[in-house]
Amino acid sequence: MRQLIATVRLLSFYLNVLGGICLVSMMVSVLADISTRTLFGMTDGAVDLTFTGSFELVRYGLLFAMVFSMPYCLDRGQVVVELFTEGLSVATKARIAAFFTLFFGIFGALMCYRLLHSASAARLTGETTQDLLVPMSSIYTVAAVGMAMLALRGLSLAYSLWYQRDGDVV
Amino acid sequence: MSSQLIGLLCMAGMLGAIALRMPIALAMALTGFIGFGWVVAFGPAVSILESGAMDTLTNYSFSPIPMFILMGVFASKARMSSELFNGAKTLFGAWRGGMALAAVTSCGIFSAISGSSLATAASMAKVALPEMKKNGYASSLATGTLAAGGTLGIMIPPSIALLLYALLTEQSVGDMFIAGVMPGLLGLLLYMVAIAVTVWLKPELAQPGEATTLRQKIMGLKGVLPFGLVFALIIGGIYGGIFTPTEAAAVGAFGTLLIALYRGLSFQDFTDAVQETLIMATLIFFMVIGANIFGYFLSVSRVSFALVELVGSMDLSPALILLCILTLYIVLGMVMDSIAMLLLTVPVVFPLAMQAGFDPIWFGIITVITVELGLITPPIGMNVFVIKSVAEDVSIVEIFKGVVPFVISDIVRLGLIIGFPFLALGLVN
Repeated sequence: MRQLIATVRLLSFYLNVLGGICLVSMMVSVLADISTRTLFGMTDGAVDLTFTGSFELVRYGLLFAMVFSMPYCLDRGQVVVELFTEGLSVATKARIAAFFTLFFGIFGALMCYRLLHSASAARLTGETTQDLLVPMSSIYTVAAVGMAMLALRGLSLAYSLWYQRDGDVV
Repeated sequence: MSSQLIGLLCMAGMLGAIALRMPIALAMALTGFIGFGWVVAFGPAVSILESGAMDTLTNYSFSPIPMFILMGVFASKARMSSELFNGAKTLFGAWRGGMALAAVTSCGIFSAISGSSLATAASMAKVALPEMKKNGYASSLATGTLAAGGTLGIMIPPSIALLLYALLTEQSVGDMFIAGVMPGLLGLLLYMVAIAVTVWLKPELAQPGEATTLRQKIMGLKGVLPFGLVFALIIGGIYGGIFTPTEAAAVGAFGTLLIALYRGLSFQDFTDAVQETLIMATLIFFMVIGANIFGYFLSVSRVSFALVELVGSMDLSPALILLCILTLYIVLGMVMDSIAMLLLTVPVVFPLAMQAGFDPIWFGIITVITVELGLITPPIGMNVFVIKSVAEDVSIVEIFKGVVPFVISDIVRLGLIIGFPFLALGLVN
C-alpha cells in the first residue's frame, strides 16, 4: 500500500510540474500578445507578428495549471476553521481530515466521469475552440486526466491520514 | 418543503460542517450539490459540479489571480523586502518608534506588488522583526506592528480580495483597485498615527535609532523604486485603459521576475516560487469552485431573494442594515479566513446591500476593511499566527495586545469611509 501511495504522490508531483509550466506559459503568452501588438502599433503595421488565440491560451492555460496542480496541492491547499475542534487529539483530527479528503477524491472521480462524457459528446459534434480550433474533446480529455489524478490522490491521501500514527503519514 | 426552507437548512448544515473542520471549499460545494439536488434533482446536480468547476477554471477574468500571486512570491524570493525595510529605516529610524514606522511603511509599499496579507506579513516579519528586537523594541509593539501592517496587502491594489469581490459582484476590477488606493493609504497613515500615539503614551516600548544624513535618506529610497515602478505599471496600465487586469498581472509578474533575476534569483528560487504560487492559487480556486457550485444552489433556492424581501418588509434603515452586515463580518472574521468569508457571504449579502441602496464599489471597500479586521482579531487572526511562526518566543497574547492600537485605527478608518464615501469613491469618480 505504501508503494501505491508513494506512486500516486509521485505521479501527482509530475502533473504538478506540468501545472507550473502551464502557469508560466500563460504569463509568457500574454506578454507575447502585448509585445507583438505594441510592435504592430509602433511600426504602423509594418511588422505584424500578432497572433490570434491569446485569450484562449490564457483560459485553457489557467484550466490546465489548476487541474494539474490540484491533486498534488490537495493536502496543503485547504482552509479549515479550527476554533471548535482545537481540543481534539491529533489522531482524531487526522481521521476527520481523512474523511473529508475522501470527498475530494469522489469529486475528482465524478468530474473525471463528467469530463469524459463531455469529451465524447464534443467528439460527436466536432466542437472546437473559436480561435485556435482546438477540438474541445481533447481539452476535456486532458482535464479529465487531472481529475482522475485528483480522485486517486484524494483516496490515497484519505487512506494515509486515516492510518496516520503520531503525526507520521503512512 | 419550500425551496427557501431547504436553503436555510442546507446553509445551517454547511456552517455546522465548517465548525467540524470540513474544508470551506468542500462545505460550499457539497452544500451546493445536495441543496441543488434536493430542490431540483440529483441528475442536474452532478452537471453543476462539472459546470461549476469548468466555468471557474476557464474564466478569463480569474486568470490574474495566479499571476498576481506569482508577482508577490517573486518579490519575496528576491528578498526585496529587506532593501525596502532598510530604505524606510533611513527615513524614520532615528525617531522613537521609527523602526515600527519603517516596518508599517514597508508593509504598505510591499502590498503594492503583493495581493496577499499573509505573504506581506510573512515577508516583512522575517526582515523587520529581528532588527526591531535588536534595537530594544517591546515584543508586543514589534509583532503587533507587523501583524497589522500585513493587513494592508488586502486593500492596497493589486489585491486578490478586491479582485474576487469585483468578479463575484460583476464590478469593474480596475474601479475596485482604484477605489482601494485611498483607503489603503489612509490605513497606512492611521497605522503610523497609532504607532506614534502608542510610543508617545509608553516611550519605554521603543528606542530611537541612529540618525541618518540626507544623502543616506535619498539613497535609501532606491529600495522603493522597483515597487513604485511595478505598481505604476499595473495601476497606471489598468486605469489608463492600456492593460486588462490579466495583462497587468502578467506584466507585473514578469517585471518582478526581471527585478528578482537582477537581484540573483536562482533557478531553485524560481521553481519554489512557482510551487508556492500553485499552492496558494489552488487553495483559492478550490474555494471559488465551491462558491460557484454554492451559487447555483442559492439561485434555485431563492434564499437571497427571500432574505431581501424579509429585510424589505421589516423596513430597516440602510444604516441598520449596514450595521447588521458589518457585525456579521466581524463575528465571522473571528473564526474564518478572509477570502473564504468573502466567497461564502458576498453572494448572500450583496443583494441586500443593493436593496439598501449602497454603492457597490463603496460597499466592497467597507466589506474588505471589515474582513481585514478579522485578520488581526482573536481568536483566529491569521496574520497574528503568521507573525507567531516567525517570532516563536513571543506569546500569542502579547501579539494580540500589540495589535490593539491598530484595531482601533482600523475602526476609525471604517467610520471615516462610512461617513465620507468619497474616500473610497473619489478616485473612481
